[in-house]
Amino acid sequence: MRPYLAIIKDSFRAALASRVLFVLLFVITLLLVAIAPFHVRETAEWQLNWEWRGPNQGRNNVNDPGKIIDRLVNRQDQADEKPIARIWNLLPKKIQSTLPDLVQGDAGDEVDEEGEEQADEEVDEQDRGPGPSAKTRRRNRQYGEFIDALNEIIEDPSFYREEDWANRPLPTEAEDLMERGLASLSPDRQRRFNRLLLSTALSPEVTQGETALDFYYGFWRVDILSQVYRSHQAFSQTLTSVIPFYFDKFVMSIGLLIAIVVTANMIPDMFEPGSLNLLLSKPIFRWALYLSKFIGGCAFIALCAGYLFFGVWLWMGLALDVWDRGILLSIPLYILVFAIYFSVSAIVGLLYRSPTVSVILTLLFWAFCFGIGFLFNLADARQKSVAISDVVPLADEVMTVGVLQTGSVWNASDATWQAKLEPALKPEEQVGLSIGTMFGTEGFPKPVGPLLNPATNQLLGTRLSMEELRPGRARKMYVADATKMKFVEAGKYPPGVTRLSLAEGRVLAISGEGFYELDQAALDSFLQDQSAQQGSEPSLPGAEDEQPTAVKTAGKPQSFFNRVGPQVAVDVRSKGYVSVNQKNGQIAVYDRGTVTLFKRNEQGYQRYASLDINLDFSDRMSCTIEYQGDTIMLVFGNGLVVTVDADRLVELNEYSPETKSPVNSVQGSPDGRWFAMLYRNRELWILDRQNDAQMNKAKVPGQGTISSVAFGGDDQLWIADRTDRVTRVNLSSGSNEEQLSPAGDWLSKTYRYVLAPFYRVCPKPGEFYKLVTHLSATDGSTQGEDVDLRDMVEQADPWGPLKSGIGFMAIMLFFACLIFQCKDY
Amino acid sequence: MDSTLFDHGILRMIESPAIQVESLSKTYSEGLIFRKRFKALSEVSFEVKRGEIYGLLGPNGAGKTTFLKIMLGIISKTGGRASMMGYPAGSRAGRRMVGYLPEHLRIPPHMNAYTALECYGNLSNVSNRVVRQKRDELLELVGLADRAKDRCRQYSKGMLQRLGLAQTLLHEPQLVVLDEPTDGLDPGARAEMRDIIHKLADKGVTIFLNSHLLHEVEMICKRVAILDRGHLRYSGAVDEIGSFVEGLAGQADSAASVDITVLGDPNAVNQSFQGRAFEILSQPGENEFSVRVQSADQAATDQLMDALRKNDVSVVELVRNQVSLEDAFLEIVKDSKAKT
Repeated sequence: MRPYLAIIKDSFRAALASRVLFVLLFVITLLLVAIAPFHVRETAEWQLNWEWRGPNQGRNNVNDPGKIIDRLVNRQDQADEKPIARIWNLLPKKIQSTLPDLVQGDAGDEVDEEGEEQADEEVDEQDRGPGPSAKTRRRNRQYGEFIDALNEIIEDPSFYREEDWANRPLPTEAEDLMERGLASLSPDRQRRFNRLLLSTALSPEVTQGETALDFYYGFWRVDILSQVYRSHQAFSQTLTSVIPFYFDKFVMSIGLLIAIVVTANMIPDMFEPGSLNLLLSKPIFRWALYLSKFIGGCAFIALCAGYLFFGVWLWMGLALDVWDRGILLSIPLYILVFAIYFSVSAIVGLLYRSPTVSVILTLLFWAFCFGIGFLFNLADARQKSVAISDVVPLADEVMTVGVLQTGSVWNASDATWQAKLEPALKPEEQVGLSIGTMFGTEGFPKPVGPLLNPATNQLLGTRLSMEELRPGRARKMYVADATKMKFVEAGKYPPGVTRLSLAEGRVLAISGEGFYELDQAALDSFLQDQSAQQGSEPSLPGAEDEQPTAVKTAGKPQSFFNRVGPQVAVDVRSKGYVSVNQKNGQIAVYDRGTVTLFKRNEQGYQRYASLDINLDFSDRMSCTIEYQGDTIMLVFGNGLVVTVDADRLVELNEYSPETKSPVNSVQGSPDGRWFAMLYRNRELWILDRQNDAQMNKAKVPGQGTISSVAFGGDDQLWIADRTDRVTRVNLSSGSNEEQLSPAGDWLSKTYRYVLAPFYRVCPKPGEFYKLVTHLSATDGSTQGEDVDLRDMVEQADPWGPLKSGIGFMAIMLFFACLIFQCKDY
Repeated sequence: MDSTLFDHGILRMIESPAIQVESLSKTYSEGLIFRKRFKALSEVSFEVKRGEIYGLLGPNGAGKTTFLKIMLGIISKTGGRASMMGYPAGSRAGRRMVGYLPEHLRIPPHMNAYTALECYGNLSNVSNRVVRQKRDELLELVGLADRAKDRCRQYSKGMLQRLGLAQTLLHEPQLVVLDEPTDGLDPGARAEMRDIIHKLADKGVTIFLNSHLLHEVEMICKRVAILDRGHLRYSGAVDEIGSFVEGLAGQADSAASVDITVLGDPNAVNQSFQGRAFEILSQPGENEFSVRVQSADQAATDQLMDALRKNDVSVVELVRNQVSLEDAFLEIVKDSKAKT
């Protein structure tokens, strides 16, 4: 190692001897000096003020000491009031002895009354001269002494004891202070923390008090920031979330360019005659010589980056009181980002031996990567907006439902998906949903259905409309003949509907308020009336023919669903918590560790059995349930999968699939043999109940890109993947029986064959802040039985830019070493 | 002989020549599709014994640098065999035993003599402790002791060469390859360099010298090889190069002759040279003649002197003509050009 360490050491020497290094360090110093005067002062109220001041309470922040005293006296000996007991015990004995007397006679009211009386007296005093009564004065003095005693408690660093506050939720600000470490808090912060504790124990009589932030640049106060940020916590959160972004965009862009320019000559310099020959004559490996030079170049930049980032971290900590580890994490990350582009600069230097060519080609490459990333993200958003979100097996074909709620069937003549379900969304609805798809559809109501009722060949579903975007609106039901595929508005769904299911051929709507069954006869009658009234096929308002429907003409909402139980409402928080068995019509509901089964009788659905699942984690863990055949499958938020025998109500098996992604949907085949679990990372896992020793990642096309699955029969699984491809897989034989794959338009082809491959292998400038943010935000608890994967923020793999960058750098270094090793010099 | 020792390469290392090449060839290729080929070395074979000072000569483009680069592993050969201290040429094991001073040595300007020795010593796997022990002695040897802490950017070309020589010797190599070592040195420094080379040779270190300065080579080297356009033209002792040149057909006009200036009657002078091949070079004065006479050896010269004395001819000056290395080099190169 000695020869190679000598090369790295020489790079350090060269860096130290270089004027460029000192210029850079000087510029960074100027920057740090420029930002250093900017600082923030937090004013956090901690002291309790109470003084009788007449009708105007002035600076008082305690309204009624009598009520506080009342709570302390009456509750200090209760077992569940440990904080009260703690405060009581810290009061001086003299104060303790006087407090019971103050409680007698309902001191609070008395104070109010007498306070008013006193106020009157004081007002009159100006005219009459007499002061408050001796009794009032004595009590006010005792109140004042009591408040002073509370302030002494606030100033006591030993006030907080963990056992006193266990199971008592503390304000976020207090928790934030605890995370910093109580021992390291300044006296002011310590008092503030105690004030928050006191307010927790004695709320609402003792408030948390106000905090204020004052921003200064030197002695000049920056009022505009003081108005924006009222609490240090909000300011800190904003700062820690935006700093990595701007560091990525500016420092890792502009700084990177500077770094590339100043290091561009390192490799070409090695090739100067008289220098290279001497190096190559030494008993060292050439590839290691190259790598040592490369590492040496990185060391040069490490000095500057370390100085800049450490300086900013120190300034943020000392001046702004924001100790953000993301800044420190940026140091190795920035060095790595530099190394990625330096690997390009180095290989160009190796080939052309010219610093100028190195700089130009590296910058062009950076711009290329940036452009590829930009175009890829645009195209990816577009692909998401046209992707298949649901697959609905029809009688003899399959319908795909797009994100924009299009319903398409396969057109074999030109091998494309042809939108058939009418009417399509209005342009403004499409635009709204497209934008929503790009930035998250949390604000949009989840689509219900579409569901095919094979008995009537009807499709039932919902359809986005602008008015449904307003909260609390009932969802309209749309019905279409599965052959003609023209939606008709047919009344409304039950309130809070989460899913539609088939139960022994009947259509059920599940909502948080109960189970509802579709009155098929009434619906059919309505549709017939519609058809007869219009003299043509019924259609939707807003559709091409603009014909009004019977529902609209009736003037009031109408629903074809009847409540069929249960008598006691069950907590169905989302559609994942309930499942309807297609064959026997029974309903299984999961709620906080208990699976309850409901069976239909003449009175409707009645609870008839339940099973408490043996959980090693919180019963509030999210769960997705599926009940088909005689098997109930529970997929918990922490990844655990449990199967239950529905007949005997006993647990069968537990599985832990090797995925760190939460489950998106669970589908069971009608006979209950197969269960398909589609995870958020778009991987599909299959459990075969006939061979259920373990569940496996399915050997199907498009793993990692699967957007939806649906059973089309007992062993027929339709799989939608790669945006718009649908494959029918026979699970028994494992064969792909049918594949519907459109060639796609030129945008899709460009995305799939050009942008995506390039994006995958190229470095990703401007995206590394995601990793810094991810590392700053996570506390390492991304795994474990109590971690609900659904609570994790859904984001693209934050390590992706790092992994692809390292991979790219490794390839560059490999080829550079190969060239250097084999070439004659 | 114990075969185990051979297997381990120990005896091979001890007994093998310092440099041994057989039919060594190198062809450069350029271009990916329409490749141009240039033969830089063609079937070169010679041997350098351990402990000797050997010179490699040749005009520009003769293949000297290519030869050195192959030996040091900087480029690869395309044919033949080459070994250095018993190891294949270019191998790391071989390079460990070699100290190399390149032509146009460039030492990074931020270094001083100490840091340069530390860096290059480390590259030869010499620890810093050993470097610190040796550096003052070596800098004293090459005359840089008083400039040890100056930055190399302040060094003259000659000082850089001397520092280069110091780094060459740092790891006590058994073979020292010097590429134009006296280039840029003043006459005094050249003499010092020659002195250092002789001292190294006295210690048993093999010196392989590549130089354009034929006079320097003639003073230092016992044996030389002459390359011309990739071909080996001569390999042998410097002393024998005259005979070699004589052996070249029709090229011996200045070989085995004496230049004599005589004073006497023209007829007497003419009579004295009768029966000998001679040529009057000039007539500096009346009855004074400068003549070149073939004289194979000292006996022939003595007979000529007797004949001159017998005819009352006075000998003013007599100089025996010898074939210098430079003459021989020029003859050899001229001969090869004529042949091609």
